[in-house]
Amino acid sequence: MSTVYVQVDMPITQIHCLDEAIKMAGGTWQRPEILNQIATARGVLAMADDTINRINANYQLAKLLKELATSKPLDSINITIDGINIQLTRSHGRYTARLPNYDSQLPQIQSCISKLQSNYQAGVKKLKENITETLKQLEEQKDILSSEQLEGERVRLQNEKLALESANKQRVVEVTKELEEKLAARGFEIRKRMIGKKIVYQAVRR
Amino acid sequence: MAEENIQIIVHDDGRIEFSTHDIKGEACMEELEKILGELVDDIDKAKTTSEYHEPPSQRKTNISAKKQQKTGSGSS
Repeated sequence: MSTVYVQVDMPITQIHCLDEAIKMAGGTWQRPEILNQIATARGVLAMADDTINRINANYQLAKLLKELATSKPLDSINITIDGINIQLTRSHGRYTARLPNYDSQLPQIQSCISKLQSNYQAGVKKLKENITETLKQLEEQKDILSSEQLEGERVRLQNEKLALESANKQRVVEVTKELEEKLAARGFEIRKRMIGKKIVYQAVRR
Repeated sequence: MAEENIQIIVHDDGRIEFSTHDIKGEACMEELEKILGELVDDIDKAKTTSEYHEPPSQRKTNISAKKQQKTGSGSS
């Protein structure tokens, strides 16, 4: 029996953005509890009506974002969009839907995944812009806000970034480990260098 | 015997870029498939240079397949 692989070419371990992408596509999934807690904490922060409450709300949200950033990626993700069920399984640092090529729903599933990818990428971009903008506003307000307020806001934003970047870091760890193993197994000698934020492998086989 | 070289760059957002030198045409793609096949989508669509199609005896650089595979969080 032959199968085709519908691959999601991104590390969607940034589940907050995945959650938004699924919502935008009109879908549902087995939403992890941490996302509900983060949503509640964001609501509390938005409603905070005095300095103390705002500081506390920032720290609470920062704590949850850090928990999200350091949590183990989900092994599998089940999504339902327009009555179509999609199961994504994590391997090689990314999520893949493995489907038999005779599956009559294959075009719809591919379309759903494409929509999700597009939403996800837009969500990540929006979140990055939001963090940058908020940091800029914070800089402008640094003479108005108290040091406690500033620190609370900064910690929250740092953890927003951490949650966003952790998916990539995890992906890089898995990819480099697999690359090194495979190159060595194929008889290549490896020279590994860091150039800026890039990891460069020079593999030679004689 | 010439050395076979592969350069692989892993970007901080997870993108993978690669190029090879002195690995014969078809063997090159097979080698890349074995090393990167599960990490990169559509590896067979990697760009090849004109040297890829040259006979091995005339070839200085057998292939310079280069491709950027986006595997990051959406930023490119």
